[in-house]
Amino acid sequence: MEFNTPEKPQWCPGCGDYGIHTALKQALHEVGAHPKDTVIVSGIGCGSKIPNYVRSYGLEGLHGRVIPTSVGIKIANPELTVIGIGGDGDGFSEGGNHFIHGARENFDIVYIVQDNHIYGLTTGQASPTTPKGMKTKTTPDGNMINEFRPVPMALVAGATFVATAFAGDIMHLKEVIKEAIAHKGFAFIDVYQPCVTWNKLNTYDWYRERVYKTTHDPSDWNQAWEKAWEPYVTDFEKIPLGVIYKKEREIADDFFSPGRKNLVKEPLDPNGIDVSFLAKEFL
Amino acid sequence: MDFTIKVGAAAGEGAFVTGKVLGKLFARGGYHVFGYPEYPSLIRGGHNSYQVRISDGTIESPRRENNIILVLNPDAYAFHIETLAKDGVIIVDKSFAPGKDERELALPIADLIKEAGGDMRMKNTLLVGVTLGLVGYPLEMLEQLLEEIFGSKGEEVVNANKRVARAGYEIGKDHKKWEIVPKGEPKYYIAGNEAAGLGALSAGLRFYSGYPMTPASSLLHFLISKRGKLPLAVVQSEDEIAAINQAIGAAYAGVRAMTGSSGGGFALMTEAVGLAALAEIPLVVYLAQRTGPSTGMPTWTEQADLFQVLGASQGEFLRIVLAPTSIPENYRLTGEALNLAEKYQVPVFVLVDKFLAESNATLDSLPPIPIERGPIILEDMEELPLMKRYPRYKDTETGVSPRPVPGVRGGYHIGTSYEHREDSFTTEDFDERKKQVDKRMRKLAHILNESYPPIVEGNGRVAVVAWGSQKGPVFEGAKKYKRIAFNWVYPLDKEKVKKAFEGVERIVVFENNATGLFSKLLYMETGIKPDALVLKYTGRQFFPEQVEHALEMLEEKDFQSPDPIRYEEDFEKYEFYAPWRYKVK
Ligand code: SF4
Repeated sequence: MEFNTPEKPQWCPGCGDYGIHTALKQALHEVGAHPKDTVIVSGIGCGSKIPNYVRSYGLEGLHGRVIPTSVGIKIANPELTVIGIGGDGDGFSEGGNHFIHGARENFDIVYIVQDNHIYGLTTGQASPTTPKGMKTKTTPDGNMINEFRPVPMALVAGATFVATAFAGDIMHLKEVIKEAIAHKGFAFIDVYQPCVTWNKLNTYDWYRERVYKTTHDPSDWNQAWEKAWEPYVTDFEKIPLGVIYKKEREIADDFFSPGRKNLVKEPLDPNGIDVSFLAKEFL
Repeated sequence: MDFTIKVGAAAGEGAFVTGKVLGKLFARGGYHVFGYPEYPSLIRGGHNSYQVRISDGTIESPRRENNIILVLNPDAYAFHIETLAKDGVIIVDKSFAPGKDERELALPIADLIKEAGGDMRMKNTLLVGVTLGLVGYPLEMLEQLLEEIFGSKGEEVVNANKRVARAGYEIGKDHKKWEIVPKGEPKYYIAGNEAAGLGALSAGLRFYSGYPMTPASSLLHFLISKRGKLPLAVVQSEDEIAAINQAIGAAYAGVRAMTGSSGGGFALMTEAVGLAALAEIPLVVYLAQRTGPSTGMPTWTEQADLFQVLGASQGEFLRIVLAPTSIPENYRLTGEALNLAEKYQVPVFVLVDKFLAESNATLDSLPPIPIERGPIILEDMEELPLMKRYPRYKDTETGVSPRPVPGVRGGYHIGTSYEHREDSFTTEDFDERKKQVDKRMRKLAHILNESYPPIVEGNGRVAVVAWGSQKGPVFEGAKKYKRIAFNWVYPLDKEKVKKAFEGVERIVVFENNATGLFSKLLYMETGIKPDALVLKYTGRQFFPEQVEHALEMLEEKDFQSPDPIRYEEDFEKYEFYAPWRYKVK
């Protein structure tokens, strides 16, 4: 496949990131994306190594900064398919401000979170989505802190596409990614990703017993809101998968870049630009 | 000719508008004008002032003495009267004029406006009218400007302003003391940040992102006002961290991108500077310093962020630091920064300060800045074989490698914050690591080759040195001596610097900070050590008169002083009003 790389990812055997990696490449292939017009943007974490394993353009940037980096690329060149991808620590802790404002401003990017409820690469500390009670290196007596709730948060902040998926169901995840790529606006996918090394609670089996494909109307805010809360009100007995909410509205890209041109393609005169027409107010 | 007009008012009373109108009128008449605003970090209350200095030749500094002072409240009178020239005029409202000074021109402002059929909002128009009358500058030029300013508000507003202007002008004419008449082609009258914005746009800036912070905010405002007039995206980001990462994203995508802030905002951006450096993504950071540390004095000036910029981000990497020494230079160098960033694929800083960023100066023209993009690849290449990446970080002779951007066929690679191989894949291989460090560092020789030599004026055994914005006041106050200024601050080319100091036996460095940061850098990089340091860190820039005074003091010691000369009481007589000595009513 055109997105394959010679190197194989080196995640722990059984890591959920493999499924996400496969689904992402397959989704890009199926929507007909070309490597030249695809940019995979990540932060830092186990899953954030993913741009190394997709043969396209990519930017493996800083921990927590997936969204602003993606936004800069997409505004400069709106013809690109820009996929931001990073972990839960990256996106919800370090990058929490960008998550809120990215959703609010409705930038035209896809944002996938590899949500394993733990810090993997830094060897097993509690993350914002670590369940209450779970023992980790930084919560040796069990986590006492409420978990961060990405899906309700995305809805409240104003995301126009909010979905959940499971790294253990590649076919479904792939379809959700395809739908996110087709969406105009901030498309957020919270992907439940088992970390076989550090998270012994949220395993593949744990998820399989709880997840189900939702069939509600994602354009209905009230139904979306109910689904967003379902895992929390059922004490994680029922976890809906699929598009939770979807409704297009104006995107920030149009506001910050009037006319939304491909700024890379706009020619630059090597002699410089005569800016006197911009300086009349100073004469 | 060297003529100064000062406007003093409570915040919100229009000192800046009045001053800028005057500055623009004289710039239109072909004069060199320097406009200098001062204000506290308050929206209401506190005292604002604006000095307009008019000259036949280039001027890059305010001066202490004023020929005309316009005061809009009693505080303003108290603050500024000391700076009035012996034969000056202070225009003041009769209601609070002390009436003890024969230089007072006390006017019943409210009555005059009423008689002319205007309202009190036109107080500033009246005072500008009086001022022009005093110097015999044509009233028609003010009338023309009033039409431009108030045209959108309807004919009645324009006419009322014109009547009030005329009433003021007649009074001024009755007391006419000077003769200033238009003498040439109109000049642009532009603030430092606006000049930076224009320079960047001339050099092809396509993306700017920022978060409000004084004194960099006006660059954000200016660029936003140009959105839609040329291909340009400007993002007001959620924070400075977002701002710099957005700019890096845009630069990676292949457009000329810049972000800007003051020291506090830049502190937040720091980590991303290293990303730009390691991924070799061309990035320009515009940093307008203010008085620190921390929140400091937000609306005052200082040159104390030099080491912050030099040390920003972990690890070792090349960066270029430019410090424009005047407003016209801010136009040119901000544009050049975009060239340097793309040619060498390194972070470039434009280091200015409140003094330069918010003062106004005149420019004859805005010559387009030629664009050099370095080895960027914008056209499709041959398709790469499957399973292959483009060697984005190829080890080249110059250290700079061809850079295809997304959208280009065959250029697939990643920009990455990890150490990487030539084909951009992450590596921890020692040989690859060393090869990439050497490759990046190899750019230094080429950067030094292109670096600007110091600006040198005059000659003699004593060299007076300034960097960045302080060149204006320091050069003016050091006319008797050899003068050297640095607009290219880092990295320094030893040979070029040494050449500038040829024949010099004594070196005096003036810096707008408390520890002589640039002097330390100069010593570190070239071994050149100043014989005396003059440091001012009150929140104001130097005044030419202070520079002169400090040099007189140093002359007695043959320009050698083991301890730095600091701002002391005896400097104060060369200052504007000292706001800290007065209580604002
Ligand atoms: S530590 Fe966890 S998240 Fe990281 S690679 Fe291993 S299984 Fe995956």
